[in-house]
Amino acid sequence: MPNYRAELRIHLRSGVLDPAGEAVQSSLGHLGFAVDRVEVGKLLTVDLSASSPAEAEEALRRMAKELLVNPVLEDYDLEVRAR
Amino acid sequence: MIADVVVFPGSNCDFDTLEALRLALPGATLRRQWHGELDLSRSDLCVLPGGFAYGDYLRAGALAARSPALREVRRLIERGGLVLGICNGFQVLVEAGILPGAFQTNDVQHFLCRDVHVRVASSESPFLSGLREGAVLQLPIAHQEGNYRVTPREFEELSSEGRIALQYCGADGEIVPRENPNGSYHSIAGVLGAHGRVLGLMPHPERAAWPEIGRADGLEILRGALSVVAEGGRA
Repeated sequence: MPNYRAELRIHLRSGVLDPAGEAVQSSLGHLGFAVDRVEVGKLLTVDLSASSPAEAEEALRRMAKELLVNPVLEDYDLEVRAR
Repeated sequence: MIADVVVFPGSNCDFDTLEALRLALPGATLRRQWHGELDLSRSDLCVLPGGFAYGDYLRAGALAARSPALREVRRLIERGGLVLGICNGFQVLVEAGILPGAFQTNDVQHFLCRDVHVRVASSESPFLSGLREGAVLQLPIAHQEGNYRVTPREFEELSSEGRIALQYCGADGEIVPRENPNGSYHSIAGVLGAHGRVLGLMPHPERAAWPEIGRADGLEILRGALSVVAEGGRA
């Protein structure tokens, strides 16, 4: 089966308070960098074998639902490419 | 009565919890069980203790919530047993979907370790049966992700079903934003599962179980487990 590398970028849903982002923004301010917003997310890189890119993506979406993403607070983008 | 404390890699309040249970539940058989071999078939009470299960990787409680041990916990709940999730244990119960909601980082953006006051919002639970609604307890908290979130609709449901167990408050019992240590929705510090037999709470009752250290309010919650035995055991 072909090998794929999936990248799952997890970010907070809009409107959800992001204390880590606020803290980083504040620290940037201490260094003289004025920025409008910082969001701290997560990047998960998953290597897997699947029969097609669509199957790999489907597997990742199930993983996201069952464990990787908390739908109450988080949303995600998924990118799958050949490895 | 048999009470079990579950140990995940990274749990660190298991021994304190056992000692507090020893005091709260005289005569009970207490067991400390590794999550990988968890057997609750004879258990009356299962406690998921505080700590940092699986290092809180991914999200607090997320990986422990997918441990096969949670199947045992669900079976215990199905047959009417009691489940108490303390701090990280509460986070595990939420991640497992046994209790609703989700946890975010404290709104103050740092770890909190101090005493707080909590008000008993419901006594619809064996754990809270020895307390009257409106009673104020002093208990310690120690957490980074204690900012409990539910949707307004979930909050209404929980409230109407008497499942908001504890709310952060002032010493006089007043529930106001300045007495909310972590930004939790409506100052929620603890919630109940259906039938009140599952309780998740952020404060640590096991750290307030000794009159000698000037804190014993936690004993009341732990002792509550006895009320079920007094009623003739499990349903």
